[in-house]
Amino acid sequence: MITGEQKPLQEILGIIRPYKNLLILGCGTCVKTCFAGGEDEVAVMASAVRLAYKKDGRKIDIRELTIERQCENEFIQESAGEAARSDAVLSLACGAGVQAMAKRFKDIPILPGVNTTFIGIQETEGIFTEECSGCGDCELAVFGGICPVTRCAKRLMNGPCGGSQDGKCEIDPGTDCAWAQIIDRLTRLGQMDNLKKIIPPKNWNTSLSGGPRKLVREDHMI
Amino acid sequence: MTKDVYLLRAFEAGADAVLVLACPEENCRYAEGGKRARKRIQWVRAILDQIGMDGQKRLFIYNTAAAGEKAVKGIIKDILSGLKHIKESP
Repeated sequence: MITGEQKPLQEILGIIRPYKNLLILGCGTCVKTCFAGGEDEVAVMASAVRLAYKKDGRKIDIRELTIERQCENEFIQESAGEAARSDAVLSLACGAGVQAMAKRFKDIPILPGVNTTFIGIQETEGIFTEECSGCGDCELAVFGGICPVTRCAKRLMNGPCGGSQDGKCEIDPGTDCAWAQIIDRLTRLGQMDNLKKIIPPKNWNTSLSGGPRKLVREDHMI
Repeated sequence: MTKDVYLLRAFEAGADAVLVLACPEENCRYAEGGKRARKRIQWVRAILDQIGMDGQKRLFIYNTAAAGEKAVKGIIKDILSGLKHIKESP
């Protein structure tokens, strides 16, 4: 899932300031799971903005709506009516959702209410961890399902650095050393031989470093 | 369930303060309700602080729902006397 955090309220109030008629649009998928932009968060945001405006003696007309996913046209179109009635849309979706909305509704400002952070998982209740960098060349089969690109602070591909201590990363002692985990896991799987092969310097062309990417599936194009 | 939006809507409706009376945390029939309520109060207080409405002075939680009428009246009296020193809600 994509994780994100709501922007500070004061920042959001600054972003929406020019607009008198606002749609706050939530997304029912990733941002709902990380408590940033689902239906409940839309309701809280609307209430907080109305309170803030009331306190300042200003008026704003706010409507609330949450769609299943803001990154797919078939769901985006459900918001067309409300969007058309609005001066602007405050989207609580991830950056992909905000941009998908902007591509669809070219004449309506689509404003971000969430800072999109990473591709990750809910490790445990209330804790989300970054797991995948979207590098475009996955080698998790070599590393026992633990990604050194994402989870090693130094992105080392051929073993730990000298700073790994007691299973913790020297960059941040609160972070587990990915290489300690890789070695534990490969040992458990009986696959330590995977590490005998030297991994060459990574070709980053398949990642965002190579420019914005596109996936084309002609088998799905009619 | 103490949903955060209900607390904010109470302030929108003009409440100067909101008091949540919960059961003692160790005595919750649903195991975690009291703890979750406390976390939500903290969350909403932070939102009120961001708006410029002092959350600590306006939003209260007491885990004394089972303590009896006298105790509850005492809590309400304390809160009301504290409200004299803060601005009315917008």
